[in-house]
Parts: sequence; structure tokens; C-alpha cells
Amino acid sequence: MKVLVCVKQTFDTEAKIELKDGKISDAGINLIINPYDEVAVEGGIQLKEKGIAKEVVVVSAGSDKAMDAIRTALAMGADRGILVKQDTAADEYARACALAEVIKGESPDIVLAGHVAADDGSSQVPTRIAEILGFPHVNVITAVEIAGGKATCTSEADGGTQVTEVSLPAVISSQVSWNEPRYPSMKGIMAAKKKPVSTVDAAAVANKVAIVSVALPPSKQAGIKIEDEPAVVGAKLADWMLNTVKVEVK
Amino acid sequence: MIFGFVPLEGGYEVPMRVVGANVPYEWLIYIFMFIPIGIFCLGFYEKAKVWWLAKGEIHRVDNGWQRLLSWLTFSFAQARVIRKPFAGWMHAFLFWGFLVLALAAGVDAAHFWIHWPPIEGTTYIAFSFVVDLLGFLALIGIIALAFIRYVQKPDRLNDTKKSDGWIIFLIFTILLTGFFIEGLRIAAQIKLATTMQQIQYEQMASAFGWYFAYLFMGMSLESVLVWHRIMWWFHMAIAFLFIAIVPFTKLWHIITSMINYAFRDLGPSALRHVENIEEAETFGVENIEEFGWKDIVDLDACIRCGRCQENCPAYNTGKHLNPKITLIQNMKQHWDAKVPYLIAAQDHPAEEDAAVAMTDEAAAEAVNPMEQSLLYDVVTTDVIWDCTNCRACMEHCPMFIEHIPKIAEMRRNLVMWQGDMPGEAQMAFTNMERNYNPWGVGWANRAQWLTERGVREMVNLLPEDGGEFEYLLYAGCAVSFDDRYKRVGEALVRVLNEAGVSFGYLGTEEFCCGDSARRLGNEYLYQTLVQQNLESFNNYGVKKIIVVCPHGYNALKNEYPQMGGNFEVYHYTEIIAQLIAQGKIKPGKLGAKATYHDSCFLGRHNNIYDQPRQALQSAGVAITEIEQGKQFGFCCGAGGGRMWLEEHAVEGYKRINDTRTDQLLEPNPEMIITNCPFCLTMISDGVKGAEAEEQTKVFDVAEVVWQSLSK
Repeated sequence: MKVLVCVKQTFDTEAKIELKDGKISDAGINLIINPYDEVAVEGGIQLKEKGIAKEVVVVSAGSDKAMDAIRTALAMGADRGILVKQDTAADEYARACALAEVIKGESPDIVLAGHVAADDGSSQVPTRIAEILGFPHVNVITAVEIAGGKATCTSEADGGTQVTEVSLPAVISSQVSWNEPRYPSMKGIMAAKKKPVSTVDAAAVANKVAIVSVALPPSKQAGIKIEDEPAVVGAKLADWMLNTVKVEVK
Repeated sequence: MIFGFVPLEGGYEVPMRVVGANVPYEWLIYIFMFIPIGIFCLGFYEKAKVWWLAKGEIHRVDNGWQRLLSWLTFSFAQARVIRKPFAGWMHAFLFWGFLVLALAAGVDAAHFWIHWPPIEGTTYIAFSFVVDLLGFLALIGIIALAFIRYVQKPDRLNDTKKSDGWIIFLIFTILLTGFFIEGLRIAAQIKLATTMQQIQYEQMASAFGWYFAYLFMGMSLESVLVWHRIMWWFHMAIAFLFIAIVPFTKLWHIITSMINYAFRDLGPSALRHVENIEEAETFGVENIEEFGWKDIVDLDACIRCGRCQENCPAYNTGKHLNPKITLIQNMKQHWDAKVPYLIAAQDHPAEEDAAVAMTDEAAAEAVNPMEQSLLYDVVTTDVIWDCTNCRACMEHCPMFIEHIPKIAEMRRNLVMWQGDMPGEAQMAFTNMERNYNPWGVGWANRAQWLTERGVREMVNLLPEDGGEFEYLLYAGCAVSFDDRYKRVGEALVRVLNEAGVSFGYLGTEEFCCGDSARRLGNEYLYQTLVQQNLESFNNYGVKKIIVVCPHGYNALKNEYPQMGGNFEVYHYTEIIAQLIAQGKIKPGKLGAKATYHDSCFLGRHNNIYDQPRQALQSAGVAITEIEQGKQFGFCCGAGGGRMWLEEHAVEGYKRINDTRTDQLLEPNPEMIITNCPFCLTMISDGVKGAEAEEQTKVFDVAEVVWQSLSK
């Protein structure tokens, strides 16, 4: 059984976002594997350790820098990597097309991915891949059992859990609570240097969505401090809310 | 002890030792003595040759004179042993007594046979008196040690074995029979004496043996002479037994301790350097024989005195780690079991499985130590992760056993090779990797504390201001990212500013010092961070550094030189004490009553106990010293990277920080003062837990000094 994991390289979640010429600047930013995808990589490796999967292939679409994300996944224990070279400005549709093309060639039994990327948060790519390939798709899983050509998945449902069964091949996207991704050991890092990574060019597909502009969230306004007798404080606060903040009273 | 028996019939006129008096064939012992000496030498060879099976590299042949001095100080002056007042002095009595008695026997024999050294007359009486006194002290010593082990039964001696009792019994019997021989001889002398002077000489020369003579005065001269002979041969036989069994019993520590004193780590407190980590093929220690030879001698040197255990914060709060038993003794047993297999493997290199080379069937049936895992079966990961690197074990070990480096080597293997570590450690590593601080706050905000605390104008922020500076202020991660500790950073900046100290600060070009990564076993990450810091230091031409956190201080001062970083490194408390002494700042009088917590990395690791106290005293703080202070300071629980790991209280025990807080709260202080961000966090938590926040506030030295200045 072959497991294929899609990983996206994203900004570190603590990175300070700055705009330059109307675009997000990546100067001085540390790049990491999207934490949700990291959970998917760990899930794939665990399937291999349990003897269910024979091979874990990591696929990432992006610039040459994404090679680092692939190497990290290999250091964790994946067997092989594929870098799909694609403009980082590709939208979710173009990205899904590029990945689906590679997946078709690999014909894995299970496609794993994080259910969302920590940067743009669009939550579209795994679902789009399933759509393009005509695979069944289960989202936000927290556990999975594979047996007899079927995957039994536990997913988060509103306030509870839902168990679903799909026949393989399928696209399964992970919730962070599925597992705790491992920290790559030096043994893993050394082994990763010798693992094969192939590079392919992305299928030429045009974006369907164009970004018009980006802006940073408005910086937090300083609060005010009112010190006085409780009754006076109440009155002053009400006054401030009505006249300064201009809260609408219905 | 003066004339012997023969001269009483006329012969020796001067007080001296007559060897072999009343003992026909006495000369036979000069032949017999080669039997125990031979067994000793063979045993020595057998025990010592296996040290070469240890493959790890430890070089300890530098500083010859210093090593010689160390050997003399700690062996013959027993300098470490006597640190524990009662047991230590009793051991020293025993050691000095045995040593002097053995030497005196040789000196007496030499004088008698070759007339040198010239020990005769009053010289002899004085010499004999001293030897007698030391022999008596040794007798008291062994009785006291037996009393401690079997009557007092301190917890540190919680693994008493039958063999401990037999050795005590043997030593006691050797000393007692020695005094019996003396007593018998004196009794005979008295009975044979022709002048009063002969008896007076005996009383002076053998002041303690004299009293043993009373036991035998009732016997006839003939019986006394016969018993003297019997006792003499018996005493010799057991003394020879003692020599022969040294290499095979706990007495082996006599030799291994001396080796340890000569080859101890003379350097400052630092973990062992890993050269060329990029090209390394193994990391840390997975199998016991990968340790260095000194680590293996350490196992032989452990005499199970339990001083490590007694001072260990992990053991004292019920954890798995007991430096004596679950670390050193478990390793020793494993090593002893593994040695025959290692020898077999060495002798039959062609055999794939060394166990095949073993023909001993009994050994084959037992657990095969070749298949036992050092990390998982022998020491166990619980033990390895329990250690806070507080150094209490190493500080108090009379043998200079190196516990922390062993733990560190095993952690290195767990982290870098097995990839097996607590989830929290993994999180801390990821944070240090991506944001250069264990908290994981975005690195771009590293200098923000300056504006948050309103001291931006007082600081020469090098990447922006780039002015001249004398000292670099290495603020560290806690000052940068821990909201409580930012106030300490602010206080320090204000103090330095008040004193007119010229200092620069790197802001976002400063990185985590890497201490937590290194102590948790991630040497690779540590070295990466060191390189980044060194690059920044060198970019700005840094020469002198003031470090806020004791962990960073220890790393920069003692560990960065391994990576080529040589700077003048100061802890800020040293600087403050100096500024006060020079009159550059004049603290006011706070008039507060406080207890002071010595952080392990400033205290035991770097011996800085006085400067922070001086600074606090100048600020008008009255420190009540607690029993567990200075060298005996009890860890807060956060060293060795444990700051980032969860500590679960064991049933019946409090957590380490709560245990420490109770000690510090004992004298009802208004303040608990510390010098370390980790300690501050741990003890503040402890005070909260003890619901003592109202009465007792927790501060850092810098804050207290600033409070007194601004008063």
C-alpha cells in the first residue's frame, strides 16, 4: 500500500508579517511545513510503522525553497519526495490541478494532507484534489483504521465525532489532534540526505482567482482607563461608548 | 613497643623497635607478603585492563602539576571526604590511621634491618606515640562508621549489603588485634622489666596500647608470650587478606578514588564538546562501552556513600532518578555483566554475535547483557529525563564522579539518534529552531521589551543605533519574552544606566544561548545557535559580555570557548557588586527581611555565592541563610532543560519547586530573592501554591537593587 502526503511550505506561525510594495514580504521569514500537513506526514509514517503502508511519498508544490519542507518530511521518516515546481502565486485551483496530475501518475492508495494551511487558510486543496481525481474524501479526521481496502475515519463533527467509511483510494485530510508529529532525529536527517527526491514542472493551469490587494489587520487601539467612583465610572464609560466608539443602540 | 622481649636480658639500651621479638620465623612474612601483594597486582591488572574496553574519547593528561596537587589534596588530605562533618572525619581518621600504621610497620622494619631511618630514643618515642594515636583514631573511626551504618541508618545508606558489614568487621578486627598485640607485648614487658624506666618508656610510646595491656596482666608470662605469637600471626594473616581483597571488594575504591582525584575534570562546568557534529555518525552514548574510560572508572569508584542521593532534588521528591542507585550502580552492574562479553567479542572479532563466543553455559542462561539496552533497560528514560543538572551530586561526591556528563551523553543519543524525547522537549526545540527562543514567540519581537518597559532610550540597540560600547548586554530569551522577567531586564538596564556603564544590546541579532537545547541532548541545535550568536558577537566586535540568565552565563562563559567563542563573560550580579564596591551606585536601605535562593548555574556550577549577597546587603536587605543554601542549595526544578518539561508530583511528595519554596518560606521572609528567570518562575509558582503571595514577594537581585536605588 502506498501513502502519498501533500505538504505545503508556509511561514512560521509566529512570523511577523510585513508588506512590501503591496505584497507579503518573505524577508527574514523562517519557512516550515504547514503544521496541519506535518500531522498528515506523521500519520503516513505511523501507517508505515504499523506495517499497513509500504511506502510514504511526500509531494509539495512550490518554489525550490519547498525542497526544505520535503527534506524535513523525509527526515521524519517518509521514503521519497516529489517537488512540483510551481509559481508561489498559484491559486488553490491551479495548485490542486498540479498536485492531482502527480498523484495520478503515482496512483497511491491513500492521499493524506492537512485540512487547512496555516497561511492562507483556504481549506480547498485536498477537497479539490479528490474532486479532480474522483476519489472519496474525508475531512478533519482525528483517527483512521485501514483494513480490507477501506478506511474507517473518525472526524470531528460539530460538538462530537463522526465515523465514516470510504473505499480506497481516497483523499483523507487531517485535523491537528490526530497525532503529535515527531521531531526529526539526526539519524533521520542524515538518512534524509540520501533519500530520492524528484522534481517535476507543474501542469500549466491558469489561476481562477486573482488577488486584488492585501492589507495588514489594523493595529490594536490602546484602551482607556477610567478611574473614579463606581457610579461616575459607569456614566463616563457610557458616554465614551456612545460618543467616542459610537456604539449603535437599538 | 620499645625494647622488644630479647633486650630485657641485656642488649638494646636505647628505646627502639625490635622487629620479630618473641616471634620465631618472623622473617617468613617478608616472603609471605608477596602472596597478597601478588594477588593485589593480578587483581589490579584484571580490573584495570577492562577500562580500555571503553571506546569514548576522554583526554585527561594535561596539567600534570595541577593533577598531582589534586591527587594529594583529595587523597591524602581527604579534602572532599571531610566535607560531611561526622562521617567524613571518621573516614579520614580511618584512612590516616591505616596509612600511617602501614607506613610505620615498614619504617620499623627498615630501621631494624638496615638501620635507616634513624628512629631511636626520644625520636622513636614521639614517632611511636603518633602512630599509636592515629591507630586509636582509626579504631574510633571504624566504630563510628559502623555506628552510622547500623544504628543511625541515614537514608543515604539505603543499600547496605552483607559485604559492607564484612569489610567493617575485617577492618575493625585488624585494628583491634593490632592493639591486642601491643597490649600483650606491654604486659610481657612489664612482667619482664628490670627497671622502672623501661615501663615508663612503654607508657609514653604506646599511650593507647597501654590500656590494652590491662586485659592481659592477669595471665601468666608464658601465656602472654604464647598469645602474643598467635595474635601476631593472626593479625598478619588478616592484614594480608585485606591487601589481597582490595581489587575484588568495595576496598577497590582506595585505588579508584586516587585515579579519580588525579584524572578528574579540572575545567569549568561544561558538557563535553562534540567535534564536527555535521560529520558525526553516532550521537551520544547508546551502549555503555561508548563512554570514556574515566566514566567507567567512575563506576568502580562509587562507594555508595549516598551523598549524591541525599542532595538530589529528583530523589528527594520521589522521582525515578537516584544518582547512586538508578544511575551509577545500575550502570556498574550492567558494565560488570557486559565485560566478559565485550572481551569475548574483542578476542573473537569474527563472531557476529559476541554471545556465541561465550562458552560459559551459566552465563548464557542469564539475561544477556549484550541484548540489554543501556537507555531503556539499565538506566531507563525516566531516570535520564528526571535530572535537573543541578550539580548537587557532583558537588558532594567525594569521588568526583561525573554524573551530569553521563546523563547528557544518554540524552544526546535519545534525542539525536533514537528520536525519543518528551513532547514538551520537542516543542522547545522547534521553538528554538524557528524563533530562537524556547517560548516560541516570534523572533522579530525580540527587542520589543525595551519599548514595552520604557527603557528604549537608555539602550544602545546596536543594529539600529550602532554606537560604541564597552560591554555587550546579552539579555537572553527570558528578558526578551517572559513578561515577568522583562521587568528584571528593565531594572538591570536602569541600574547600568544609573552607574554610567557603556553597554550595547543586539536585539533581534541576539539568539537563544542554547543551554536548554544542549542540556536536553540536542547538541546539534545548540551548536547552530552558538554559531549564530558568535557571528553576531564578532560582527560588533564584542569583547566583554554581561549575561542576565545564569544558564546563558554558564553557556557563554564555560561552553562557548569549546566553539571558539572567547569573551570576558560576567553575570550581572558580579557587575552590580562591582559597581557598588566602586561607589558608582549607592543603593538605599530597603530594610527588608529576605531569603536568598542560589540558582544552581550561578552557585554550584560557577561558585558565585558572595557577590549577589553583597549587592543585596548593600541594598539593606537582611538575608536569613537557610540550611539548604550555597553549595547545599536545593534546585528549583528547572535546570537541565526541565524548565520546558512537565513535572508530575509523585504521591507522597511535593514537586521540586514546591519543596524548594517551603525551604525558602521557612524563616517567614518578606522577600525571596533569586538571580535566574527559571528560578523566579518556579519559586513564584511555589509561593502561589503555598498561598503565601500576600506575605512574601519573589524578586530578582536586579529588581531589589533598583528598588533601593530609586528609593
